[in-house]
Amino acid sequence: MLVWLMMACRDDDGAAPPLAELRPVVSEAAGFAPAPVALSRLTDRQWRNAARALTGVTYDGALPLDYVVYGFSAVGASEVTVAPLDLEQYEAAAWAVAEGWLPDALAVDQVTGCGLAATVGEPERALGPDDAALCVERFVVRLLRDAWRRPPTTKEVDGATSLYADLEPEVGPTIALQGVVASALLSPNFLFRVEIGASDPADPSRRALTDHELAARLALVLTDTPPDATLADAADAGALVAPEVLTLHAERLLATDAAHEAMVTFFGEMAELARLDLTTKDNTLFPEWTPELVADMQHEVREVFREVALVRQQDLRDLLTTDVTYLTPALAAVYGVPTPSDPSGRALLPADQERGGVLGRAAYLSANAHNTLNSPTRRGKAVRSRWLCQDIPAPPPGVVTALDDIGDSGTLRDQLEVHMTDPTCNTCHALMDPIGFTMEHFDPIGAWRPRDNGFPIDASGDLDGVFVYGAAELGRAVADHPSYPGCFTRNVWRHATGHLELESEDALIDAVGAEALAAGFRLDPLVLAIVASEGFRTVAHPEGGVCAVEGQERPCATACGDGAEVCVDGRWSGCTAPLPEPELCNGVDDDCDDARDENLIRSCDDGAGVQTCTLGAWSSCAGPTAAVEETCDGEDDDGDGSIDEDLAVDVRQVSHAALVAAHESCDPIGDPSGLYCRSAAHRVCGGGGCGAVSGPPLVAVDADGALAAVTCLTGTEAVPVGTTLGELAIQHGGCTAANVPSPDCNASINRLCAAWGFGTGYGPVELSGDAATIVCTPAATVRDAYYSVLAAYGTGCDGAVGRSGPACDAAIHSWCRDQGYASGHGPLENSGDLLYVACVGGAP
Amino acid sequence: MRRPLSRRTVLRGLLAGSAVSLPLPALEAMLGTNGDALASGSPLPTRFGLWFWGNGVKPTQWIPPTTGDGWVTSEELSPLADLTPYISPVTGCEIKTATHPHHSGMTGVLTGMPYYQLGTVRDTIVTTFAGPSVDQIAASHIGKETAFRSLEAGITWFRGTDEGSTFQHLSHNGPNNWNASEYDASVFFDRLFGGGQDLRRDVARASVLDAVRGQASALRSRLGAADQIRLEQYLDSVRQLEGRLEADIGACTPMDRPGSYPDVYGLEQIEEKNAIFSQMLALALACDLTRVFSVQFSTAGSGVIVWQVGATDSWHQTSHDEADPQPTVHAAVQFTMAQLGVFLRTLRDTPEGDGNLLDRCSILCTSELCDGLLHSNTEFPIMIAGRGDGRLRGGHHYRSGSYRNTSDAVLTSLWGAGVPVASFGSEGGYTTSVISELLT
Repeated sequence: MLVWLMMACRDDDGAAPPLAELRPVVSEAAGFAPAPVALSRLTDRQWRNAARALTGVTYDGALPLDYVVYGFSAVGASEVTVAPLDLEQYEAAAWAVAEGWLPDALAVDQVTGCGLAATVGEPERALGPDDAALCVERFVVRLLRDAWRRPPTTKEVDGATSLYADLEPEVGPTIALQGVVASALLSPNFLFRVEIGASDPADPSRRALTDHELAARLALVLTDTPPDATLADAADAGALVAPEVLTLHAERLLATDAAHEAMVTFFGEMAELARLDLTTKDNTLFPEWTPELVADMQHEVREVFREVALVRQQDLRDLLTTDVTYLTPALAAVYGVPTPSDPSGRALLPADQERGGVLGRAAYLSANAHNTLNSPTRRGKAVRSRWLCQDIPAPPPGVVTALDDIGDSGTLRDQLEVHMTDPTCNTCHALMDPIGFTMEHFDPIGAWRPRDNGFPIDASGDLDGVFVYGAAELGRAVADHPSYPGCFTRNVWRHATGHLELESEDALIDAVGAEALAAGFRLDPLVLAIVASEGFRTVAHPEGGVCAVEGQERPCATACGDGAEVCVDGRWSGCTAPLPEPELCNGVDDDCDDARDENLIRSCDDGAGVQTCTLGAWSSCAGPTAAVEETCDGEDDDGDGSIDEDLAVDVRQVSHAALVAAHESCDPIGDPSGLYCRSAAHRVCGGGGCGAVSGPPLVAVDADGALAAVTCLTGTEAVPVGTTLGELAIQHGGCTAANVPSPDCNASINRLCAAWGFGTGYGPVELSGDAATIVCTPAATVRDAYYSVLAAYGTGCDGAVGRSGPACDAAIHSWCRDQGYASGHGPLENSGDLLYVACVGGAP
Repeated sequence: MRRPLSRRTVLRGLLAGSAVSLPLPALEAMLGTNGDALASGSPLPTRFGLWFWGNGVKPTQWIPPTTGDGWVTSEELSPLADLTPYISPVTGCEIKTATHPHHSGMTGVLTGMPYYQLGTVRDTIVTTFAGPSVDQIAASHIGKETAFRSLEAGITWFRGTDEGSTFQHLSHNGPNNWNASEYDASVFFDRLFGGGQDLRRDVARASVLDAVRGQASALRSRLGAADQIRLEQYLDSVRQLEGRLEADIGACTPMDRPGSYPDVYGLEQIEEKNAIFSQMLALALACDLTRVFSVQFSTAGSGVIVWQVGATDSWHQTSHDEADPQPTVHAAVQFTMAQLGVFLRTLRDTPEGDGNLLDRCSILCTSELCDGLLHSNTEFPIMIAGRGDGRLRGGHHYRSGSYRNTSDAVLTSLWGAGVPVASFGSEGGYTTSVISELLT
């Protein structure tokens, strides 16, 4: 570890604080719980930087759009996936980079040193087949480690080398190796920052990021580039899990140009500079408005931030009060000042500009104005939302926001004063307009104007009780506002962690912000405090099947035997016990109910009669004779020579013991509609003979722990289908692992079955990890029902107290029976008093 | 029937030195000898389309004055007068899951579901679609045989705010998973018709996709539920691209490569872009490169400045600011309907078999709200254009007197394209009923 400390201090040129000031002390806050981890997709900048770091190739083609959510592409990166068009662009980019790096045989040999291409050109230089394979493998290990920001597994290396071995005879060594590079770049291991963490020995309720995960997170967040060699080596050595070491590396990275670029990009998002690209100005009023001028305005704000916050490490409040500017000739003309003599365009704005810091600059003033007119409302609103983290709702529908046309009789301010008197408007506008009024000396592109509409301008205003005149004073007032440091801290937090802060993080964020403020509110200490905190280094266990102790085993069982499950990456692996299978005519107890080949029946080939199975052998055909109603009781109730035939829908009484035997976690009294009892009903029906394959949620018929009613359906009524929670969530975003079963999942299943042409359905009836089994009911009749009606079928399903669950299962079952059906399930969908239910069996 | 050779088979055959020739028919050669079927013998396909514009209409001037067959155009629909036999307006419907004007309207009409909200830390909501949009439901049924499962074009720029994908994108596969519209005509052209072939490269591409699919599957099992869903979507995208490599080559004689149509002095070249995208889409349909498309003429809550009608501020801003009867908004709606007319006419004037392309389309045309001033989700503007290869009657104005579910109209448009779905939407937006008056 000493090595890393020395390395971190080696380039100490006096700018970095002395060691004593470094932050080995980690901010702590009571009640902290980390956010769930989420894959973070590389941003546009990160992808290009990572590809260049790996290959030296600069890619300038199209990449998927960044998803800016709550102001930050980092937040969107944790939400977004890879859509088909995205993958198309990533694929083209991966191949372009691979070709750029390894354009021909010469380059392949230079990069790999394996003499591969020589097999085509100069065979005498080629390695023997074994040596060549080993050489390729060494190249692959380096490639994957650098591309995926962690050492690859043996299996992953094997995958890449066999890709090469498969392709090489068909397409030659150059394209084959390009393919290996392309596969590394197109892999989710490259496209996403993958963070899984390991069980935190200090606190089993959460997970700690591993060394390589921390290295990747640190480098990508602070520099928009993958870890450099120093950081990667520290990760290999297992040094980064110590917060002191992590902080030292963060400090080292923050001094690099890459970090400055990344932080400038962050600030550009915070200041909403991209909105200028979408802003237009009336061409006749503002002919100077061009894309080049827009770029100059964005450049000014970025460079001011670079100097004040990064190079000089000034107080972040100075951003709103500084006179520093970076002007091009075009922007100097807008400001009405001479072009600075300094080649960088750096100058100090004369005090008579009355602009103050970044809020008084053209970028802010233009983005928050209309096409032809100023908008004090928008200028005020953006101060609240972006710089004080306060939000103002949109105007209510139906309100005409047109300003009274006062002709030539006054200023825009005079028109807007109406907002301040109209009671519909003034609650919100009193929070915005008085801020914007202070910037009225600047027109829609941010140029100074002495008069508005021919009248003198009143630039007085107020920010939460502080009197302000002009933009410079406004900047001071916002900087001194009690919400400003906390808001800035929250913005850095969102950017650094890639998510909106949770309530469980609030106290920690406040503590981090307060510490930074006490130390002079400089950017690097603020970032370092966040990096050192638990919020940056730990994550919550993944949802679904949470277990705390890695490798822990516990027993589990099915009707077919005992098994075990293991805690892997915070989740219980599937049970190793064998699962019951549908009974077949094979002399074996497939469904593990202690009966072999029971209740098996099939039609004869001529369709006239039926055969039954006894210990692996089918009987001879017996002709049918109709009589009384058949039930699944092993008896020939209708005297047709067949036992339990044609029972498409059969309501059976099943003992609670049988249900628990089918799924040990089923609690038929406490939670008859839960996932486990659904599985139990499904299994009981499937293994219970009469051709049934499944059953909808069961209905408790007595509370004494004896019997439940289960509606069993045969294959004509029920089609079990394998799907995934992912597929279900696409149909309804509310259907997640934490929410099974639920009305949301019912809706998902309803839609999915409908989409497959199977009517509707229910479930899930089995769930293992992401894999779910649902049952579609193609023959069911979907009926409108009303909670107000169902309420009469027993308490608990009245649309208010209950909208789904056991009471509703029972009510729907009874209601469908009253409509002439055998049973039913639902709600498929519901809204207000209305719900859709699926009735099965019989006809109205 | 002999299954056509997949592209990959052809490629492998070439590499192995056998004498399989690349099928590269010109447009005419794609049709069978009678001109009423594709060369493969399959019947001419029916297409589903979505044509969307933002900020709604001025209902009193948009709703046609007569109902039933042979409807008469209103003032705002007058640019479509020559197309009325192909168009069925559906009026008087409402979004059943309305809680926010733009967001509910957008997701309500296109998915039949409420929106899916991301976080709740501020008043301005940030949302995405909870499920696939109607075009992707169509694509999952009728988009599998073509090189492109669906195509997405955008005409006027997104000039909106940071309110999630609902505000920026039209076509969605699911939450936070959209099919971005292409706004650059030359990029769109290159994606459809450009790009030379490199046979050895294409073999390698297929193997690389195989390999990354394996990597993704291995990673998937180690993730939490939400991330598993995201990775599943990555896998879906890989499968789609593999499908593209496998698809029959739908080559045809392309038009000249268009330019990019950048803004001129900040003014968008809306008419020019709309015309060229209309031509490219018509060509893509005629060549059977796709059977599902969407056109995002403008985004939900669009900030487009329709300078062509004298507007000096964004449409959305004007719809709040302008006093009733909002002459500028009215003119912008009329302009937009004229652009829709250009698109539909391009399809109508492209012959195919015994009719034209519009005869074999079902195109849902709609917005995300009714009246921009009121930001209302009732009296929703909807039209279904095309004859759906005989499934749609066309030329009928259906008016609901009882605020029918907008999903009924959407489901009708799906049936119009022969998409075999029994229901659309969920919760309040759920429906299994279609507007039978519009179907044959």
